[in-house]
Amino acid sequence: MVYQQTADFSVTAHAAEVRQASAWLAQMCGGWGMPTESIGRLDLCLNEVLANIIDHGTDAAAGAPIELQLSVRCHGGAGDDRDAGAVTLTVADAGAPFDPLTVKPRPFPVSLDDVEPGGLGLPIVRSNADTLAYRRENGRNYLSVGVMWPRAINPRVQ
Amino acid sequence: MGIEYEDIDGNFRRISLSGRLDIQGTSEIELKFTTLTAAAQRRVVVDLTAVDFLASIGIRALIGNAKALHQRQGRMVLVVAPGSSVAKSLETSGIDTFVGVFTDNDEAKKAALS
Repeated sequence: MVYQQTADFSVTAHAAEVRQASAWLAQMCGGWGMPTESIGRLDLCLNEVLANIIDHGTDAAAGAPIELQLSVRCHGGAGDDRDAGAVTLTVADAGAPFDPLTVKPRPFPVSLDDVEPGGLGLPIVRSNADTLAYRRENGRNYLSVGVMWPRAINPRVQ
Repeated sequence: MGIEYEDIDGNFRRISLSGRLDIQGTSEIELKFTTLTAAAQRRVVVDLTAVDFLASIGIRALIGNAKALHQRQGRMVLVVAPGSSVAKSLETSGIDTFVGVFTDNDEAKKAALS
């Protein structure tokens, strides 16, 4: 039997709220039977997407709500072992249009002398997410990050 | 987010971090971490085995301090739990190609002092 549910949460672009969002994600996904390792991958994606919004947002955007939605689809009813499933996290913000899927991966730096401090967030999202999708609608960016369990054989999103 | 240190054998310092290196956690330890790695020619092992979450902002702090140490003829190496999400985050960032990442404390110390 297939189990489906969604959950919503709202944060503003501040560090303490990012942590609250992580706690909410862990609680919801844990309740849905998502394995710890998979929750960790989705939590990393959440942190990087929110960090990006914080880094690139204006002062005006800092107080604006960022809407989070988790949506689960898994096998097994309540009380069963949920041995396979997928959770998609959708982050919606009202910042300037930004599609992270169009950002070209940077070449790795070769030494400490030429390493740049930024640009690490997107590679982390790409290597942890099993699915990634972006759309712009009604003045908002919607980025959806999906994590599956067990992990797909060819999970890498390029 | 916790940060502790131990000075061993002259200029060798061992720093241990614990908790979540997310935005909040990194800001909590950043100043102390920079201060602890600040001296010239210091050899540092940073133990991340008690860190359960490493986001890019945490990696940025590690790189920034490793770079500053390197420019002062010092060296930083990292210790991680094998197969941990912290180890994977470091690998994704590519930092492991120019900052030594070890799963064994003795190997890490040898590399820091070499």
